[in-house]
Amino acid sequence: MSKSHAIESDRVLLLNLGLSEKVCATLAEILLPYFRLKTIDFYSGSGDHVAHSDYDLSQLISRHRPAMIFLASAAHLITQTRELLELMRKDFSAIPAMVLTEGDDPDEMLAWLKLGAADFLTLPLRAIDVLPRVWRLKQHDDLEDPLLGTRAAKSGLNELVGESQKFLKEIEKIPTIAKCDASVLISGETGTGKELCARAIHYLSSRAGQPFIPVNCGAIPSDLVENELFGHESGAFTGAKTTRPGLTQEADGGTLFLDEIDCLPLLAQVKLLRFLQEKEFRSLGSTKISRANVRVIAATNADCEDAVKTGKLRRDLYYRLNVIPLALPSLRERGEDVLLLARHFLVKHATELNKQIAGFSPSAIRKLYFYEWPGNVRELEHIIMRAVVLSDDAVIRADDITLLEHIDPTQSESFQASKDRIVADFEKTYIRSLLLKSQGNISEAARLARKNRRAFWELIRKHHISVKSLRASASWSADQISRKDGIVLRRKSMTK
Amino acid sequence: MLASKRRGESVSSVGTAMADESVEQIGYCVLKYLVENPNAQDTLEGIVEWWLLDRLTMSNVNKVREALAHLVAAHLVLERKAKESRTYYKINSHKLKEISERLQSVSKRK
Repeated sequence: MSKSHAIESDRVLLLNLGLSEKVCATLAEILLPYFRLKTIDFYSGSGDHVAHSDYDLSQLISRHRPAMIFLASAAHLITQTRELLELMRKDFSAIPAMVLTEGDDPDEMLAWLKLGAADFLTLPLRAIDVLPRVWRLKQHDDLEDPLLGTRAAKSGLNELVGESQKFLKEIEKIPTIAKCDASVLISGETGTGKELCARAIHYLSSRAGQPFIPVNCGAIPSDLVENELFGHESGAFTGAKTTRPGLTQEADGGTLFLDEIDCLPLLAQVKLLRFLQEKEFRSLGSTKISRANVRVIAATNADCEDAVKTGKLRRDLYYRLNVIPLALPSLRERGEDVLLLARHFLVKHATELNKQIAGFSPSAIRKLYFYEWPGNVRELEHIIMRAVVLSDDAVIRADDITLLEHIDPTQSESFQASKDRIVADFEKTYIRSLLLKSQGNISEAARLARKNRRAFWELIRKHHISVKSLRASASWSADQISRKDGIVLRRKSMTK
Repeated sequence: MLASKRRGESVSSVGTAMADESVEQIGYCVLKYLVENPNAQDTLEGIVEWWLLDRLTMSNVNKVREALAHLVAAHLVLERKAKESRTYYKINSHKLKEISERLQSVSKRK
């Protein structure tokens, strides 16, 4: 149970576990013009012994009544700092704790946030990084409306549909990521929901009432990118009759979502990097430096390491953006979610079009299940929407589902590569089909294939087929089919 | 009922003529959100998914689009068309007083 206590809004407590005096002095220099800072050395200096006890922590916080606590931790005292943070969260959850560490490993930072840290900072400390985050936490503390947060979360997160472990593992990070103000790099194939996740981070964060500005860097002509992002003054170029603020300025106080970041021209990347580092920029044709307080979330469907190697993406920008990575799986990797998502989109579009469609026919389910979904969730939604529009029946049938023809890749690959691909495709489809038929029973599927169980298992392993998810889908489909058929039969008998 | 009939037309209290009552209701909700969050700005998708907090509007994207068009036509909401064809919506801060008055009159009538 959290202890209630009075706080002094301008007091900050710095608990130092082994960081150098120089770092503490820098932090003090940054904070002192605005806050009253009390620094306590929580580390004795010999071995890994922490000088103060739990009792001391409680006493210290009760005595100083800080509005915020900084936990400064040396790399070798991480465990002790974690214990201290856990203790603080238990007894003083109302006071935001900012962790200050030497390392910048993204997993480590996520671990801090999961433990309950409100945000984190890494070295070197700069006023431009520290102060906005401190102000943000303070403001958030004053304005937080947990009820609104819950309602918003319920509404917006409804769009993030899925039950596969791979998907849930990434999605579960979102509320934690939303608590801090660090840059995020979302990777994933086209149509995997990168913008949905970026928006969820924004609306679950303290920036929720501020602008969310999504920009597709790949869709802006390269000679207009700089103008679009940073704006221009009147007369900056022929046709610039009025001053126009850039999207960075529009996003002030909120979040700028830069999709397809690897498509940003190199010159604009330099300007963006400067903006990320200094929070300032210069509009085209302007002599004045402008500032904007913006959280940047970037996304890409390319392999960033490759983009860096080929010179498409600046290494320094990549490191600056990739503070917290979020990797969204493709729909192929979360096959068990296909039917769940199909059902979600069916309800959504049937309601929009005011159509009474109860579900999918068994053949439609098979068609959806065995498709590879190169365009991922977006492609699935479009196909379901089209099927809803075309269907005049109480269920979506296989004929209503128009899947895109695969582009013939044989024109650009060797005979052997082409043969291998076709054989692999056949094996995957064949094995999945038998597993679905046998409700995930491997021995039964092997018997139907007239192969021995061991060889059949090797094929399952080779193609990374999740038998567990197939079992779930098989029972789900059977249940859906029987329920839907029941509905259709009932409807038909009513119309007779 | 938000609309009132005048010369055979449906005239909205929160924007220009809105034929459909549910579109008016959505327009009211958008303005209410913007008055409560005057710095907010987003595209249609964000408005549908995060501003309106209503499962019904998630399935009525076209009605939200229509409501926004009316609010823009009435100069209550500003739109910015980006070079990559997206449109961002935010409050017209010069009309804040007018918007608040309209919202008040609607809530009184409810």
